[in-house]
Amino acid sequence: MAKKILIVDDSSTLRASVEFTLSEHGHEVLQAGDGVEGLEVLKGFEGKESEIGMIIADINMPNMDGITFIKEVKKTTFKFIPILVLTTESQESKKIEGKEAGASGWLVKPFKPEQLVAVVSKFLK
Amino acid sequence: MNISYNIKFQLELVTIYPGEFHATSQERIIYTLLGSCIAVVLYDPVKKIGGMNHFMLPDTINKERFYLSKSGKYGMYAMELLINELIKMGGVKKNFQAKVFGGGSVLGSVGGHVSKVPENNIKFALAFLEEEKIPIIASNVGGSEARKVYFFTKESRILLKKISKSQSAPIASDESAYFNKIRTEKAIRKEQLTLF
Repeated sequence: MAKKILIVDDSSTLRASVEFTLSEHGHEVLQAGDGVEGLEVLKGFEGKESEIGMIIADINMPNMDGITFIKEVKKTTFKFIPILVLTTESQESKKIEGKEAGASGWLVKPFKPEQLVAVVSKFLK
Repeated sequence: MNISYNIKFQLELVTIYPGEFHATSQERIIYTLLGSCIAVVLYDPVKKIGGMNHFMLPDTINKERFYLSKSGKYGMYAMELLINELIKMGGVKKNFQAKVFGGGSVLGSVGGHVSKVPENNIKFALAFLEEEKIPIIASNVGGSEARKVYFFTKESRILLKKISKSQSAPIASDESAYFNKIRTEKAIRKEQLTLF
């Protein structure tokens, strides 16, 4: 069974764009509008963690930002799932924060669909 | 971007140019001069912070699925920069109110591309805000005139001045240069991937 990808971003248009790009390549995408919702979606997969292949998370989000979200995920049984940050932030200090929180990669928007697909394939291997 | 002092209103005046944005929690005037471009003003009435951007789409979009095209993605990027800045300043997205200006037909036709620019810009701004559920509480778009937009950030008041087509030539020339830049993706920062 193909693994699911969780996209956590407050922009519904960005989520739609990512879902379209990835579903065209056969991936099943789950959506969450912020970090709190993202953790809730993950909770629904407790005991079947392996069904989630990777997480894509934005940084600037209401309720719970991306860095906090990553730190929270790392405290759960989902801690081994790779997290790709997809953000408009390109500052080195922010990237370091992401790395220290436990992210596996950092892609700066606006992204090219083919690049996202390539990173996802790499992470799901 | 350029910051000056406006004697008449006794306030700092921040001028933004095509491709730029500014957000603030201070009492200021954010000003821009629009031809075919669009400026979206976002304001959080609870936190009393606001900002404005000024952008143009490089190509046509499909209204229903604008987020799939390169052009739509460029517009989303312009909007996200402003939204993120407001969120970073403590803004709450569900409180945001939008005002939309511009999209005047002041550009001539260049290779058949430019003529649809104003229409596309308007279409994108309205579709994006609807999709992101940000209510539009005021707008002044379309027509054939250029616009000067002054956004008074404290009370979210707009002062709008229209400029006749005959006086719009310098704006059209600036916008054509910006248009050509984004058409060739020069305005878009190169994508960056870092693997940790």
